[in-house]
Amino acid sequence: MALAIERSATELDDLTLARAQQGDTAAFRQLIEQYQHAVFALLWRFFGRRARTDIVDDVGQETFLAVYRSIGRFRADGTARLSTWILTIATRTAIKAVRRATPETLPLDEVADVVAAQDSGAPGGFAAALGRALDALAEPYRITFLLRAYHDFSYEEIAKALEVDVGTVKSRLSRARGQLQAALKEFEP
Amino acid sequence: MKDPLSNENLARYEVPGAPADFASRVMERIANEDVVAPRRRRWKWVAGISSVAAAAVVVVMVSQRSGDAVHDDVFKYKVERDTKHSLIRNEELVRKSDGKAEGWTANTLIAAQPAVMPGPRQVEPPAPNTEAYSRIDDNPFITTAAHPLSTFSVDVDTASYANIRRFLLQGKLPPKDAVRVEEMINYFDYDYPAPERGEPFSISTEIGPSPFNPKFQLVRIGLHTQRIDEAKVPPRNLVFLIDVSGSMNAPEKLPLLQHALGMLVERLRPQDKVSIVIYAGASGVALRPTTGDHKDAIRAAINELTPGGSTNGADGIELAYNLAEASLIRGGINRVVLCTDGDFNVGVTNEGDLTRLIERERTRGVYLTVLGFGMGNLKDATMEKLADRGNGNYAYIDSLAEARKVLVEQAGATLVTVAKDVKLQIELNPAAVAGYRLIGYENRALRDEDFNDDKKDAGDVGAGHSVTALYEIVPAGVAVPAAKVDALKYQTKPAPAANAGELMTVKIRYKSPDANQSKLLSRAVMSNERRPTQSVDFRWATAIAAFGMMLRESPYRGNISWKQIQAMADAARGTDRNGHRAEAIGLISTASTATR
Repeated sequence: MALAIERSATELDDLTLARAQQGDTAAFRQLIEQYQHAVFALLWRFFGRRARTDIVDDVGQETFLAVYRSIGRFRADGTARLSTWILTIATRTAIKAVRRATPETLPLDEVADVVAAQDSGAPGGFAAALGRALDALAEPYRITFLLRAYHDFSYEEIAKALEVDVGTVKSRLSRARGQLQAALKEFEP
Repeated sequence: MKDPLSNENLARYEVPGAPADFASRVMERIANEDVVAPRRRRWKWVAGISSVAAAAVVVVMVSQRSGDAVHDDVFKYKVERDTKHSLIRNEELVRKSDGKAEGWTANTLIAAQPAVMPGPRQVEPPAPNTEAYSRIDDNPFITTAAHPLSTFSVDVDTASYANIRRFLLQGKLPPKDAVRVEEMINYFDYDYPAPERGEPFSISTEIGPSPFNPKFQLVRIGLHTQRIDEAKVPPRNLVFLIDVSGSMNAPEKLPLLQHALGMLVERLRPQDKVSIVIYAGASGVALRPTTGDHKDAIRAAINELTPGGSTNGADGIELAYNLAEASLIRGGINRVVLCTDGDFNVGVTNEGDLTRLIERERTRGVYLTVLGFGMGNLKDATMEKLADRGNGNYAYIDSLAEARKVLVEQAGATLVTVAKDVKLQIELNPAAVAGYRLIGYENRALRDEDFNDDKKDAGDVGAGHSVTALYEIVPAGVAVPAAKVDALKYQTKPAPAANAGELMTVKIRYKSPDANQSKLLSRAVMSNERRPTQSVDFRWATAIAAFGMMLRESPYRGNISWKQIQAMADAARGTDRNGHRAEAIGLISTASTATR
């Protein structure tokens, strides 16, 4: 069920990566351009109804600054994908941002409007319902599901990103799916 | 619906992507907040691709050095059509993976970046193109009867060719005014005869067909100076005046220069002296005059150069000249070498004061060489002008190979000026030539009376240089295209029998490097000199002239096509010892499909 929606873009080529690791700013810019949309997609869905353009943008920036600081440590030996590595940093940055924020000050339901506006095709309102269902998931379940379903992370990669063990990842995924399916029952025939 | 979590359903939940300016804003923060990236390792070389006709996967080899060990990494690198990268030619380091990368020339594939890399401070500039070129209008056809003399100063500059190459390697045609045909022709080596004993030049001429009009002819005039044995090169006193402003912080600028200087250091002899003056926000001496036997000290100073600050060239140039004078070597080569991307903010001094300074120093024996680096900010016109005022040359450095050519191969012998203020005057014989056109040298034109005026400055020629000029000739009896004057009514038809068969007379005035009085060489060109076939060098110069005129969209290019130019060049490759001609053939092919 892994979905490669955000993975259709290929990885950055070795040489540009190597250049970025040398501190070449033009190469790093290319790296940003290659991965920014995947990072934004993860952040929008992760923040869900609490997402706001400025919040997502801030966390996106923090993500790439963190990537810049540690790009030299990424091992380009083929064992890890750069996209996974960057999305892991995005995940951790996003989780930190959520924990920093006080829930009361967050605006309500802005994303619902965005989602509703974009949801043109049948079944009617499905995207909005999916958004709401995802929002209803507890944060650890939501991020686990997003990484798996939208970003093609393996169980092991999720485990590493969230610093939990693989068993936990599996159980979170199955609970997340169960909850989502229940919430989206009305769309079943 | 069976599975609400099917891929298809999940995809319905669309979210916005990153805003268009996101990457720029991140890069700005990296620059402004001084974000530090621990660098993984230092490379001696970084490879890159110029521009290819089709997308391809190439394999490039990158050498890196840690301590004394050199380690090679091989990278697969996907290139799209029209990929832009800074590049350095270095054949040994390139391997092509699938042989399918059409349209590149194998010797133009590698970008080098020296081990000394400046910190990652620079933001990719959104780069408004601020390159400045002086307008050039092609020399027109002139009627011999009305104007039998053609006078110009020699030009040994080659910057225009390297600059054009830079554009073409990006898959773009250069701006028309960036194309100086004579500099393209003079970029190449020609097998001209060595000069006679006691004379600084050899003059050779050749006549052949014009590719632009079947009724016309081309006359090639070639000057060649004696080569000097490296060992006999007089001691050098080189003061490098280096622009270290922020704009020089790009792999193809300061790091490239540092690398090239490193190569020059290897060739220094104990009797040579090097100093370095830097300028940016402030200027200062980075290396006091140091003799060639202290290579480590020179290398250390080169490695310490780091970019930063804005540019104020004027203070630096005074400082550089002061140093050059302080360490002046009598009878030696004394030269200030200005290295900049042309962002030459003259600051307190205006351009007039600057040129006066350069001219004054020239009379004291300190000449100026200008080396242009980088792209997007090149003040081509200013730089050429400065070099001309300083009896110097101007070269554009777009690659390590070019840097080696200018700083290492030519820093020896060719810095020995064999003749200064070299002027050419051609007198055409109206009995044989109805009209003519000088190809190129547009901004080198002199007034006819300047030829014999020894106070009039002109170009200088170093040892081992050759200079080529091409005239397109309209034979007597053939109409001169777009001739600006009517036939003269009151002139007697000149056809003195004594000069029958002469097409033209080539006159050269020059001064010995330390003389104030000029000497004259002259030679008549006979109509019957024309042979059924022309030399390789003649055909090559013709092809390059056509290449340049095509790039300039010259009104005089006739019906010539890229295909014909390509064929002409292909057939005139010759021995091509250094691969320059092969590279040019590749560029012609690129140009035939490039757009402006």
